Amino acid sequence: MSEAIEQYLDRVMLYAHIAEPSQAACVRDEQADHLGEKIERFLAEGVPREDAVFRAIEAHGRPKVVGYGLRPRFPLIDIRTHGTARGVIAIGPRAVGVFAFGGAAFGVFAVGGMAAGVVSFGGLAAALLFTWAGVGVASFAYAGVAVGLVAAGGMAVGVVSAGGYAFGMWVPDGGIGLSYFNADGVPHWLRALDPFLTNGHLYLSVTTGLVLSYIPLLGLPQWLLFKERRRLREAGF
Amino acid sequence: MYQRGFPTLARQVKKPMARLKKSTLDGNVETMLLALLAEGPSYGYQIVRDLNQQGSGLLKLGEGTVYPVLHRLEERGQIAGKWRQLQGARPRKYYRLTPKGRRALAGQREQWAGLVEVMQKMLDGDQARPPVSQGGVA
Repeated sequence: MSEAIEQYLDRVMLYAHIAEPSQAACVRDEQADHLGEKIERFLAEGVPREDAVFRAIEAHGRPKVVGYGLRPRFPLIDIRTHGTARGVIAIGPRAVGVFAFGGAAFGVFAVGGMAAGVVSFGGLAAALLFTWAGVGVASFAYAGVAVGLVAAGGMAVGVVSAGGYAFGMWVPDGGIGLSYFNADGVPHWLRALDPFLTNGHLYLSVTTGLVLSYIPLLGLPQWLLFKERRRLREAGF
Repeated sequence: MYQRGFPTLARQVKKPMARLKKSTLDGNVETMLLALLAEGPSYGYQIVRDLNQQGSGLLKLGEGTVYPVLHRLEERGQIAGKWRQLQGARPRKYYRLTPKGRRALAGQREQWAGLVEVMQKMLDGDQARPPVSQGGVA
């Protein structure tokens, strides 16, 4: 097997990152067999050996694409510098997982530039239950621009909302607001949601908790991504 | 009527078919692989060759990208892989269709037949409809 093929396979396997050695060997052997036969065919057609090797590698595909494709499906942790990470914990440019961290993240807990999930944090976030974001849509939305059943933020639109500019069925107090109900006529079930917005202690502790949790939420994936980049770099790629 | 239609038809016949986009292929490569393996056991390189031959050059897959799909099908139990060494050849992994794969393929065939019928109707209908400028809409 030529050195170029070995190097190519090294790169593929580096991205594939298969932990089980026997399984990794099987995958590598299968790729090597494919490339070997392709080269033989080219040689039989009269293509010079060097060209044959180059053309076989080119036809096989970019190591990053092939290698990431060969990664085990939905492992405990999937960290990628390219494409979509899928895992229980998924970290990458796009991430899909129970815990997803990425430029675009989709999961039960999603953190990212664009995030969607049950609980999501990010620049632009949508969540079934709770979001803390620049622009957020959720049942409970704490955001710069917040839309939700209970919405709090610079601009908030919700059934119950509070913030700099707040619009909703019921705007308890503060800021500039437009409320459908006035304080005397508001139904009990709406008033029951007030504490989420008007209880200063609750508001402060939730916000503090979010700020504190956001630091590790951002830092941990970045650290793991950094380690993955270093692993690739140390291998010379 | 015939004269008007003829040049259009001629253009359609002459125009080479476009290569299939990745988005069109997504999700269908699995069915193609199952269909190929229904013809008999095969190995990676041969499968790629058959795909390219039967795809009449319209498929342009990175050859290495077929293996993740094969492995996925193997994980699902729709195909089974086994290393074998035939006389004078390298050891290589042969894949064969399993009963589960055969059932999956039958299901896919039905889905495709339905989809092709619907698409054909929709697209033929679209061509048969006169353009708006010719007074096609009352």
